[in-house]
Amino acid sequence: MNRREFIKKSIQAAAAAGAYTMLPASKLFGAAAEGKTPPHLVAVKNSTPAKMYAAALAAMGGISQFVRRGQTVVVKPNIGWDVTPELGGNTNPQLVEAVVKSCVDAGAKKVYVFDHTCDNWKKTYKTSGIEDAAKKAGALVVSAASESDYVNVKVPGGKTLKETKVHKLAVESDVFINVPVLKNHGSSGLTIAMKNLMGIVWNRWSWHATGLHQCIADFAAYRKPDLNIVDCYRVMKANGPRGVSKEDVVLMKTLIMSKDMVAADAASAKIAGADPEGIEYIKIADAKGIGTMNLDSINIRRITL
Amino acid sequence: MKPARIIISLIYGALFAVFFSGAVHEYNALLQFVPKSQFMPALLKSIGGITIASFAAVFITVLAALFFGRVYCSYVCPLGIFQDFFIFLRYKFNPKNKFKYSKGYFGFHLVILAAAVLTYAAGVVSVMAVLEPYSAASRSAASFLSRSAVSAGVFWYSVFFVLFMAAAAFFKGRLFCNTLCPAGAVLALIAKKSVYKIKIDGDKCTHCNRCEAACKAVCIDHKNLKVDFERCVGCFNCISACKDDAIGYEKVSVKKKDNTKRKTIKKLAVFTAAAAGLTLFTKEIFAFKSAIPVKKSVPVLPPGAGSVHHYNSHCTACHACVTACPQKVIGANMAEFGVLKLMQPVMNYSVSYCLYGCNECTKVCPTGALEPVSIKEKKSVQLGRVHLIKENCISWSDGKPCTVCTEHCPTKAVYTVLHNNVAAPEIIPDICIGCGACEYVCPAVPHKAIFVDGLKKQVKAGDPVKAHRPGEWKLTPVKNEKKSSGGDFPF
Repeated sequence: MNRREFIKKSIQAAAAAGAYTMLPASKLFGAAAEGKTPPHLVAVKNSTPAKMYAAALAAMGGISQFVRRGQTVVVKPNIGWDVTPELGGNTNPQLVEAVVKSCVDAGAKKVYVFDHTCDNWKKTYKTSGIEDAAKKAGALVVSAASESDYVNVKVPGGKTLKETKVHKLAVESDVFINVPVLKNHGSSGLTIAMKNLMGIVWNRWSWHATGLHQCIADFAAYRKPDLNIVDCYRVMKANGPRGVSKEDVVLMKTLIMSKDMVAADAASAKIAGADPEGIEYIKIADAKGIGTMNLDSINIRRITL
Repeated sequence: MKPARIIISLIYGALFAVFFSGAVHEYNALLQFVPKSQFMPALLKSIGGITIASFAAVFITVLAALFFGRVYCSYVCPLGIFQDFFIFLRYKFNPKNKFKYSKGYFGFHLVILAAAVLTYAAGVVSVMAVLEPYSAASRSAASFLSRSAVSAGVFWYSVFFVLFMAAAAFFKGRLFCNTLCPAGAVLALIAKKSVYKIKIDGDKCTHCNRCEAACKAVCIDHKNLKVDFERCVGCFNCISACKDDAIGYEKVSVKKKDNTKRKTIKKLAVFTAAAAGLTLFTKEIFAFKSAIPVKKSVPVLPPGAGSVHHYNSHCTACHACVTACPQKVIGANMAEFGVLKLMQPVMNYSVSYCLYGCNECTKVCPTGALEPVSIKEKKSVQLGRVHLIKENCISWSDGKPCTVCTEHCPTKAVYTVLHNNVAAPEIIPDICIGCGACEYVCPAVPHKAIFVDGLKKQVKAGDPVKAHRPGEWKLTPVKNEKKSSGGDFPF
């Protein structure tokens, strides 16, 4: 119902503006209305996760660019491992809290937070601090540990991955916000935005057996997140994705925001000190046209707080 | 007395069910009390090394028995409550078929006790595991109530055991307690000399037979005004059944008491010392012969087990650890250690893996088979060691970059190298803690490419922070670094 209303309103607004095409809502309001194009990518440095998020969001034109009153939102952090926030194995809970809060403030009907965890989900949700933080901000923290919550989807243009099982909330929600953490990864090199989407997939282990990089890039074409917010506050530089000790983690106090997953991954890779060219799935996704890894070609807004 | 007993035992039974349902992830003190308050596990634990909990459980049970007889059997024992339910059904559905006094088989009961003690001392726990009431009850409860990794063998055994116990209770009352139960035998020896006993007053007794009919332990002989108190399970149904106030709980005469009590304590001390001595002595001898299985591999034991030898000689297969495990990785087969080690839980890495920051199983073991291990200690306890079969590995043999095993390894004992430019796993067994995550997640079929083999003795793993990982895959460093924002961003 709400979606229908939203579409109706969008059409009305579009008609009123004299453009009888289905323009994305974001181009009708906010920054665009002021005659300023929002940047393709925002990079923020030197503050707390929440403050850097607020600054990046402001540069993008505010939360209303992404979330509207009455919509359902999925906020998908990385909650892979049963480790504390200091180890950088999961998305920073303060960032998750800030993202959820902004969605709630924007009038979202429901904000869901979940991840298909690697370790025991109950323990991982708790130890990561994300469950408490997200609940505090008003999110519904739900399990993704049961196969019955997943539905079969087709992957458009998939070379290796043609179909897979995706969590139904990620399929059904109006808005999908991807909140990965940047870290070292023993299989894929780095895990950032595209890799984080494995957490909405059920049978993701088969990706390992059939070709991990190709599957990650293939799946990126399934549904591009409405917004990607990469947590580069504490960056695990070695022994990822789980991490062994605090010695693997470097405090980088950085945040990357973009609607383009490939650009977000390329910029984040450089933050981690790695050449994006060396990460196969970024190259494949770029070639597939999911986004661009050429950071020189895009409008980047750099903010140092 | 009866309502109090029923209320206490029902509360206890409810806690017991909650514990063994596995529904609670982290046990609080109240729930941990359930297995740790049990007599036989606490006694076995005390032999290995007394803890406050085990000492308190043994002390209170023995003291209660010294004064009031086998009240433990009616108030605390989970199998007691279970039997009472079927005895209650008998009274309900078959009220005419009353219990009758029978002589009892105290000699046979002592033989059973001796067999349990001797086999236990020899490092074989299976007699104890099958007969010890707490372990038998809890294992059955775990099989039915919790979603734990219990094999079909253990499940069907539990079905058989529960049906057998139900039938035995329905037809024969507390026969199990008085002929087979090793805990019952120990308590019977103490109860024989207890301070207070059930007595029939011959002057008041009208030989109405109500007490005898009410006695589920069939230990009251109303004709001869005799009560075999060593078989009495302290339910006091006889007292409420008597309409003539002729049966009561009385202090045994002072003179006699002094004498016998001293004798009892002496006997108990000798018995305990002998059992302890025998345990120590035979353990040393049997360690040579029976603790080393003639197999290529050793089962991986839960943390805190210390060694196969220690574990085998303490674990009564009560499955408290099985239900406590949030990962459901601890499971039991019928006879993984051989028939002499029936149903002992081991780590089952085809089902799950041991969570790095978890020590729940080590908190609940009532017999000391699993010693307490802090989370910090547990992170360096080596339960087993990793083995890699490169021929089975998709990365090494098939050229596909899988390495899902390296992701899950908490110490990076399994790490990534490049083989023909493809990410592939490599191992350092020294820093492996044997959690089995690599084995669990390995997608190779039908045989795993990476697995954990158990150790006869759990040791301390090497320091993963200081470890050198030869040939480890490193990312290509960033080139053409552009400092376009005062050096703050590399792009």
